[in-house]
Amino acid sequence: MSTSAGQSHQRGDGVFLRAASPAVEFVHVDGEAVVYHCDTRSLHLLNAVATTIWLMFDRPATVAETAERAGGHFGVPPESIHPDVLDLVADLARIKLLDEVTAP
Amino acid sequence: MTVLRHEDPPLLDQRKTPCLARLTARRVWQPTVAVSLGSRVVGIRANSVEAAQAVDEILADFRVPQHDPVARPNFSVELGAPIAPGRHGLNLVYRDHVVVARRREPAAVLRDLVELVHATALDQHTEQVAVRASAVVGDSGVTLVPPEWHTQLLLAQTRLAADGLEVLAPRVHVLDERTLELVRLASDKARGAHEDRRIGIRSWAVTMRSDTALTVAGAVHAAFHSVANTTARGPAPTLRSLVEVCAGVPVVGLAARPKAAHTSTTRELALTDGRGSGGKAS
Repeated sequence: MSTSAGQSHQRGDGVFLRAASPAVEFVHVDGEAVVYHCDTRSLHLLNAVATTIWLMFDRPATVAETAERAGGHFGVPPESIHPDVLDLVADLARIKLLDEVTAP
Repeated sequence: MTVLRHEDPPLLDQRKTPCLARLTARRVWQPTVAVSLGSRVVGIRANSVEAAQAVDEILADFRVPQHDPVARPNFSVELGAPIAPGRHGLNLVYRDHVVVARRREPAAVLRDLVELVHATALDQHTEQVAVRASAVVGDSGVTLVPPEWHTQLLLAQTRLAADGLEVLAPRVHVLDERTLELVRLASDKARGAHEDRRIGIRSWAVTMRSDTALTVAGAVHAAFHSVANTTARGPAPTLRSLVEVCAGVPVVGLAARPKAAHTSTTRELALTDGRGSGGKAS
């Protein structure tokens, strides 16, 4: 369920979930994703890092949780990747590829 | 005044005024005739009784004479337009008032007409992806270039033909992602055969901000908005089809070029080794 309130993606304390079909259709090829948002009729190309992190939101997660997971995936300390994840989540939420949801 | 009844089928839009070119009091457009493709009615008229008969014959499979009274003059066919006493000029097809096919042979322009008429229904085609592009056929297959280059390519047909390159008339083409071929749905029906003609896709150039080597995903992203039938097929099948095409065919991103460069760039793409996202066809 999406929340209508708040800009918590800018602060990083929200819980997010990847938008899914039928709102979003995508193809994943050679690590990159091409994502079409059916409501906004917008098309997005995600590079390999953005795709990896976007796909991690297949279940509700916070920015901190995802930075931890991404740090493990890329072999870097979570705190070093946290700002980038925060920026990416803000971007993905702005273009509606991530939905902010209430905590489970 | 003809009143459109609610049971009449959708008519193809008349985007601009129809052709008024070079007809005199002695040479008048014949009545518009209707053909039906998909769920849409397309109107065609010709510049003489003989030309009208030729149009009627080549589009016989698609004629819907009951809709002749409401069809709009979407296409105008001018066969053997006189350029001087006793001399006949090019054979032309106009979409509205824009020349969209020009040939020396009447049979060739009539084949173009069939393909052009078919292309008007490709936004409703659901079996394969249909893309807006200008298509140039050579010995090694078909090269797709941005559709806005089409006008210049039509003007350069003779020069391209000297290099063994043929410009297909339509600006919308069906691609078979399984075989990596362009499918010419209409041309062979015009010749009486009912098998589609297929041409291997050699390369595909799409417009980008700068000349760019594309990944497969980048090519899909760049090519998506050239698809004419996304609404009919849905975005997911469209994306999947494009992945198959872009993985198998070299796709290049090209910055916008001046008109003067459209023909030379097309010639280069069609006659020299391509480079781009795919691998199989390079």
